[in-house]
Amino acid sequence: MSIFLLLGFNLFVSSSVPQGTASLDTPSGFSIMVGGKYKVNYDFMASYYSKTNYEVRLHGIATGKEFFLGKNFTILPEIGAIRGQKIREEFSESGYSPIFLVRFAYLFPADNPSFQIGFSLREAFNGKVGSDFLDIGIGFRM
Amino acid sequence: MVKWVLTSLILALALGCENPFSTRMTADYFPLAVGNNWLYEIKADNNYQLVMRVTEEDSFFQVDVGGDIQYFERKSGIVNRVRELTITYEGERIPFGRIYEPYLLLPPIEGENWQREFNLSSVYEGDTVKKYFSISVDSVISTSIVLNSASYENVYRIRRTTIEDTDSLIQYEWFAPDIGLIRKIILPDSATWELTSFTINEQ
Repeated sequence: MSIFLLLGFNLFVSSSVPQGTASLDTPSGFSIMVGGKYKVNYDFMASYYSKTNYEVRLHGIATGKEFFLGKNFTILPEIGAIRGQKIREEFSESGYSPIFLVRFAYLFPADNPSFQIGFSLREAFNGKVGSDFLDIGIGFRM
Repeated sequence: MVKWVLTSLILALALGCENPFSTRMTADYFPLAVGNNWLYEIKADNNYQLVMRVTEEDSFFQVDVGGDIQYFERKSGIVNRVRELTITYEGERIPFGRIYEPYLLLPPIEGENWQREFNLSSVYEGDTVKKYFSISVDSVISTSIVLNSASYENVYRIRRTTIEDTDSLIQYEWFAPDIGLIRKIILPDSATWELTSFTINEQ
């Protein structure tokens, strides 16, 4: 039985998010593959959103399992928690929120590194399942 | 696969539950839309009811506060109250133009404060006439409150000090998520406004 540690890095920009217009996301993480099958995936996220007179900073972790749809398409549902902070000048207020995300990716045929392109939908904050965040980005795994 | 889909669905439903910070992050603390209607019980020398209603939206939101027409401007991260400042000088009404008073910063942040000062002047028949107006908001705290048997969570309470020429007014105001103003205490005589009902325009 073989055990592999797979590292991934993604950079998402220009997210569509109700809290901000300018944004930067870095959901990156690692997966553990046992006997050729994905067992679990961990993601670390950091996001920054800027509005006219306030900023939103988020960071958190999520875990889930990736499923392959054919050879190149993947779907990765994850759950986690984020710490959010709203900031205006020297004042800030922070708290925690659960997060649910689903990432869809296309893996280009290559072994190492394998480049990917995709998007993710993230739901947090407003108490309704929808899509608070829509990220489109690129990344790679090795 | 089925197990994971079911687990995801359960988790998605669980995540659908509201949590306090989520509410304070995304809720609208002054929902301005034509047709929104607030009914207050006013407790002062004489108790009476007052209706506050958003009646029109053009460049600004026109809000009828018990017959007193007020104007509000909604911008990203802020609600401004729009005022036309005037003064009566030698029996004549002297206009000083329009000011944008920072009424509420959105989303509210605990501990913050803001202020704005307006020093205006106008010349009337050779005389320089002055007008002073200032707004100061502080003591922003997050709290909960029970009014008329209704419990409100994630409420922000602010202290608003308004000075117009030599007159000053201090008010404590409570804003609830997706409702707006639910309580107000006007000093020094402690006249109190308390929300009785809020009707949102569903259209």
